[in-house]
Amino acid sequence: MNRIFVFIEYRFGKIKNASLEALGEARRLADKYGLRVAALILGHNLDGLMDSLIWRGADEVLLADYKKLADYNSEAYVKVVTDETRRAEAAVIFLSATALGKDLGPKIAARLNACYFNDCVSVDLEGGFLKAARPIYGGRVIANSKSVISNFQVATLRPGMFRAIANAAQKAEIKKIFSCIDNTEIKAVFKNIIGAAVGKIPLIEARIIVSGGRGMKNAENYKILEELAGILGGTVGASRAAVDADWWPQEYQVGLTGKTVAPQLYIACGISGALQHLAGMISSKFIIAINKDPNASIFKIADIGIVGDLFEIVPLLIKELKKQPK
Amino acid sequence: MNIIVCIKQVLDTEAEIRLNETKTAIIEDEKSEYVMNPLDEVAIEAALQTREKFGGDVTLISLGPERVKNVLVSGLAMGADKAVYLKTSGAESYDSLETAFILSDIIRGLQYDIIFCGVRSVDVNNEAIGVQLAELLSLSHISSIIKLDIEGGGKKVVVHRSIEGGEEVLECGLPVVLTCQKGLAEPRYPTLPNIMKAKKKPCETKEVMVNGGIKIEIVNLELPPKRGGARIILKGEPLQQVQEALKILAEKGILGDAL
Repeated sequence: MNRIFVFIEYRFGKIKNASLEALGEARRLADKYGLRVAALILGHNLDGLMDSLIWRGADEVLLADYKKLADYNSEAYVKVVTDETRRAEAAVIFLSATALGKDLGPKIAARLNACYFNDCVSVDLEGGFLKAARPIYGGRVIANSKSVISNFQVATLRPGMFRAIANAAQKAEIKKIFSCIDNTEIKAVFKNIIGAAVGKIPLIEARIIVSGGRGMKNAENYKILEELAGILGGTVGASRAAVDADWWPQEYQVGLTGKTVAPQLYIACGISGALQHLAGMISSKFIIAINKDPNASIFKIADIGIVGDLFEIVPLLIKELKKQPK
Repeated sequence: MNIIVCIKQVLDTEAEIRLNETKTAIIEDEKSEYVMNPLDEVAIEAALQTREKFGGDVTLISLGPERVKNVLVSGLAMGADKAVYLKTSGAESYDSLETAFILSDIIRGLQYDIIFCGVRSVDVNNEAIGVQLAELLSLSHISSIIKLDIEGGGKKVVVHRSIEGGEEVLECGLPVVLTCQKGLAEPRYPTLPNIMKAKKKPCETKEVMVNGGIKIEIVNLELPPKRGGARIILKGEPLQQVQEALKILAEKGILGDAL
């Protein structure tokens, strides 16, 4: 096997940054072990995207442009990816661990009778066998596992844990994939998107997250977190307690039964730091915690802990940040 | 409507995690406490609500050592009708496909219109069983659902699925595998009458062969590195705290990098 495939997620007019991170990691491994990287992109009317894709670390960009692929559906997507994988004898496939990646990845693995590593925080490919570090048990244990088969190996990579390449040394060659999906029936049919709030950055894509917990007291108070997030160019998250109290949407819950995030900066406001919450944000590069209780567990893992009333601290943060030159 | 729910027993997430000497497995002994995987409770609730609307049967399936029967009984106490217990050695398989094979072998012989699973188990975090089970049974699947309506007189599902930046609305005919995310349904507490009835409900035991070669090996398990970096606790006047925090962020280039 001499190729790593990277699935590039393209939906609603955008290439997911997390896919470019997976591509950057594939390039790193390819350089280390003398392999080639092919980026696979599926969809419809894809021509305009190539410029944003050819300098990101792939040796080839494999393009499958079909009407049936216009909206993501696992049935046609899995056929295109697995057909191409077999044809090219690519033994390793990376996807990013987004909602789509975690839907398509296991299906690809099952179809290829492959091993499947979900939500990897680091990967390696020595000898052609995938070795992956995966957080398990709410992130309290890291499972270092490895594949003992060389065909096939599928991994989803946790967003925020790998680096995308902004400007690769080599330009990728573009190739069209011809795939026979005429007889592939799409049974789970995409209808529409709802609830996509304009200007709200999804949690796993946010580089800065301002998160509120029980200490927020009510839904109305989240306005101050929205203002802070707005100034920082981030998004607002919440703990399970806050979501269960209907103060903030489920979609933005951080934690074991919510989302796992790894932003540059996580500001935890009025969050005590229960294990289940930590599971969702412990990979954050830098953590600031604001809490009235000096014994709150969150202070054990925060890089900066501010013991105080968030209703005083957050407005002051907003005020001081507004003073700073852009 | 015939409904199947695949459930898993997991170590209590609140409990201490202990690693064995060679650091290749998590210690499970008489001190260990187990619970039903929280997202499987959601799946059972969705199944029960579906049965309430359309009638039929809810069958639970779980695999593992004898103690796993406890979650089957819990599920029966919530109101499920019957259970199938698949007896295996209990060594945790980190290979989701191996587990999906075992489940698919058994489920293939059953009647079903909808198969519910939790989207992931909070222990090994593979998030794959439902999707892979569907693939092995050649069924459609929709993962991570947060809203479910059954329309067309029980012939199709209309679901909302949680994705980044919004919710996807999808439709699918039956049979279908649905994996359930938190927010889909609030799991009910077992009522006393149901707890009493649970032990009397049918629970069939089947021995299963763990087939196939091993594809994934655990090299080791480790505790994550402790977060390094300054653990600075700022006290004093709020304005001072804020200015100090911003100063540290500036020194570390955190905001600059992000913005």
